Amino acid sequence: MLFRSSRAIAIVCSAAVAACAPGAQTSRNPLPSEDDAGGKATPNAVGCPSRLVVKPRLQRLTHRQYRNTLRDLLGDETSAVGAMTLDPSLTRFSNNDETLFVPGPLARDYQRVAEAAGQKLMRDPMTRGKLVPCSPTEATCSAAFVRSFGAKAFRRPLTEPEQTSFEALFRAAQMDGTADEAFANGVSWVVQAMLMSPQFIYRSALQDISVGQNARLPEPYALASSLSYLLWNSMPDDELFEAARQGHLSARRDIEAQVRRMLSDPRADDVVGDFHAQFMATDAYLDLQRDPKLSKDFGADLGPAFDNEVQLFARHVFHKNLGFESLLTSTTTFANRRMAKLYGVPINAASDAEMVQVELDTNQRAGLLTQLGFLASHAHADATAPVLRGAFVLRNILCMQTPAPPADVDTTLPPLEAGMTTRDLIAKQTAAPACNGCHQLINPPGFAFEGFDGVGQRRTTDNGQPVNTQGSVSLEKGDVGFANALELIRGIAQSDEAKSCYGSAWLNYALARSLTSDDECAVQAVTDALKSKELPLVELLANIATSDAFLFHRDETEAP
Amino acid sequence: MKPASRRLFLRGAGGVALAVPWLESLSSARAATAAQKRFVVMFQSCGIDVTSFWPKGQPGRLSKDMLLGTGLAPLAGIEDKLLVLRGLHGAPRGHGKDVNVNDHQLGTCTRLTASSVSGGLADGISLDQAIAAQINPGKRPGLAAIVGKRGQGDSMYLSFTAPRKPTPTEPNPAKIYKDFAGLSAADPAVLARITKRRESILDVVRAQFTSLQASSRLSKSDRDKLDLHFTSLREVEGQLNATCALDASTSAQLDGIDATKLAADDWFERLSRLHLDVMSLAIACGHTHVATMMFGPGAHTNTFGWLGHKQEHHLLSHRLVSFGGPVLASASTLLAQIDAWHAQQFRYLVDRLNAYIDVDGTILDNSVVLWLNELSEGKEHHYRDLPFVIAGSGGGSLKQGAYMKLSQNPDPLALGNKTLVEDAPSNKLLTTLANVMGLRTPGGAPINQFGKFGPPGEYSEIKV
Repeated sequence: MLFRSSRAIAIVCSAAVAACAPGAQTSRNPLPSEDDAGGKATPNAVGCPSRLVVKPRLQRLTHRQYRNTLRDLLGDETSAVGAMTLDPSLTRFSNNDETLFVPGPLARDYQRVAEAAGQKLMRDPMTRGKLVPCSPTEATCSAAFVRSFGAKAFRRPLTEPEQTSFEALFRAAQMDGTADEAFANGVSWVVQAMLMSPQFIYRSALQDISVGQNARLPEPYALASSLSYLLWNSMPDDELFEAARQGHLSARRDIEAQVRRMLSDPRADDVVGDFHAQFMATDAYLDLQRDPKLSKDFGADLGPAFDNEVQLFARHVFHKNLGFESLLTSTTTFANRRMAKLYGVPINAASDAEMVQVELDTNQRAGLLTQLGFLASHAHADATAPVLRGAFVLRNILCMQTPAPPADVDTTLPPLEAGMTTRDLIAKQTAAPACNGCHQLINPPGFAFEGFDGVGQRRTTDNGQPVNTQGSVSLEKGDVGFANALELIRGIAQSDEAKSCYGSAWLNYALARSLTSDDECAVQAVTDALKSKELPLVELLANIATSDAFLFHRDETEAP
Repeated sequence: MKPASRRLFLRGAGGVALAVPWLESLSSARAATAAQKRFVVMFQSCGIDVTSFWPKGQPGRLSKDMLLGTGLAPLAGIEDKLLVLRGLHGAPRGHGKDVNVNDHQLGTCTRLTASSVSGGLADGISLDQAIAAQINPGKRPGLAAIVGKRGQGDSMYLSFTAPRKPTPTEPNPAKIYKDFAGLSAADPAVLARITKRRESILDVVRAQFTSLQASSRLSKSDRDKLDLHFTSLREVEGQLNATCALDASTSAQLDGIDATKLAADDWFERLSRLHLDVMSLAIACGHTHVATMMFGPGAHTNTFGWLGHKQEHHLLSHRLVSFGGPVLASASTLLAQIDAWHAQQFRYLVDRLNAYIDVDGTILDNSVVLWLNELSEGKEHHYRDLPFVIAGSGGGSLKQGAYMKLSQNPDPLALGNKTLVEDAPSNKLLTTLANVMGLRTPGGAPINQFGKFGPPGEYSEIKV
């Protein structure tokens, strides 16, 4: 694996996040509350406002947001969305605005879902009743329905032309049948049209308020949606709508109060699970085929449970007011019966499928990186994959850029000979100077996990030989030596690199776009907040939801 | 119950896309029907180029990158609708090379029957027809079509309506079309109502786009997003026609078929496409819920001249310039081209079925579309590591976006290795699919074993 130049090594060795400008390193209050005299939130003038960016005015809902929104809008837990046309997975997080557009098949999906919802409303008076705020016999009821449902579907009051147009559609639907059927038809048509409207499918932020310093704040309804899709992955609730209606969403203290309220709502669980599943790339946990000799309890069908483990664990950390360090070092996790056998711990579950909280041995496991899904997905069918495990730690946990092996290198490993461990084999295969430039960095954190087999079970031998899990990893604070994975993880959990990497991943997710050099200050602010002591996830989320980068955007009418 | 809402309706110019819409004014009970399942088989002959056919990398979640550069490259983009299976071998024998029976014939006759073969005929019903006997309208046999030369003694049968009764397999798509063309779908008043609903709703939706597009606040990229979405609305169902009909251009091509050329090399590609057009329409119109398409019989002998090939398919599969002649050095490349051509046909069929909106999802979502072959490695007539590619989940029953190895053998083809463990017989796939399609014993129980060869049981790991 040849390096083309010494520059490539420099790229490998440098952390991705560059130091911020001096002004921005000033310690910042994670929850600023100072407003200007007019009661409007203003950016914290500590070096960063000029780095605000112009944001998209339209953001398509992700499929997860779309499902959650339909559930909340229709008050129907069981509404069938079915398989949606997948968005291209070009970016780490599925909500990245660059990947969210509507090709033909997705437009048909939206129609399919809208028609299914309309059909259900036709035949289910209970569901319909929840959406209609009046008695259908009242002459004004159709207009009242359009007004109230429209304000929820579009996440803002309808304009007068919209109100008129949907009322006309309601009337056009009432062709014949009994009065009840005719009204149900009207409801059904209006709901179908609204669910296919761009005002539903996109979050729009067309109106905003200048707050000076070239910065603009979205108008209250748009801000309400920004907050609810960040913190709930769904639409605003009645209270948030009411705050927007009263104009109580432009002062920092009001915004912060809503953020606090929303973070204590069960709907925040969705985002905590969604983020950490994507942070750990749990898509790769599905359908793992592994050597059945390793365990009779492992099976490809455990994939969803492995993904669920990550989400339940992250929510546990969130609810316990713990933070990033605990994500990497906690010995609490969640398992079903077969997973508990792989972990080698007792379990008290009512059924095979039930996931229950279990405590693992502090001398054996530590957080996300010793969970079964990570270990099993970063392995081959018949062997562990130290290179994959090491590369994940470097790239996804420490944000160090490691290039892929050159395309002309055959990375197929020869079979393991008698008396040789996987570590021996990898070390031998990557010993050539051309390979070793990268692999001296990638291999050690991978070797640390050799105490775990290809399905995530603990092991002490590999191919009949004792495993060797020692090594060291180079961090800003100096080389960190370790005897095993637990020592490696504890070293990383306290490192600035890992905290900065985790913080920038959250920003990437919250801003729903790829980060650029304009975001250095925002990354630095989050990193600073994470550095001091273990910052509870709930504080981290509150910090991001009230950050300049999240709330404000640059005034595109003025020069940057 | 055969509710009115289960009827199918055409839409759009040429009836390219069909819909199964629901009707507002029908009572709730009639509107609440589960989607119809469909079963479609596509047969490729003479094995594959085993060096290039399969997805790259380890079994697991199927990605686009795993398909690019392989025989399955034409399927890139629909990987999330696919289930690619590795390691399956013929039942009862996984190696081919039967000294008593022609391997091509044995492979073709057993692939869907899992039954013994004598005198060129299988002693059991094939899965497609067993399914048709339970779910097809009027218990009609499933549609069976073939293109190309019939080969050795007209005896390479895949589909059987009963033991030793091969399904009549029609080579002329025009004749199949005549069986159902013009099928009336519903009374015009009902169609007019559905059209009115969809058009009224689309009018309002379009107006919403127009007013949003007028906003001066949108950036260039916002505008591009919106424009693309607006363009995509053209693909959304609006108009409905009253009859099951192909567009004028396709109809004209059917009329132009020269019935004396049905086996000719230079008609092969054109006829293949027309068969797929007619077949997908027949499925979407509800004429049949089961269809089987054969690109040649087993040991297929057409020459893929439009790919620039000089040798006929069967000869190529043996990697020979001529029988008894020298080895053809480029055979692997040419076979890979044949694989890619079949993948294109599969893609076309799948895309067509995916374009039809069903009660729940698209017709594809409620279908199992199975692409199979009588051999894996053609040169040695192997039945090891047979190619089985599935699209559609059969109404959410089968895994999707998955590349799965069902055998524990490290190399399930293991050419030259006689010690291969035969642990993944293909008959269990038939049993699994039978149950996915809702097939039941006369007593109403799930199928424990489809056919007679191989062990009982399913591959439960491929089910959701």
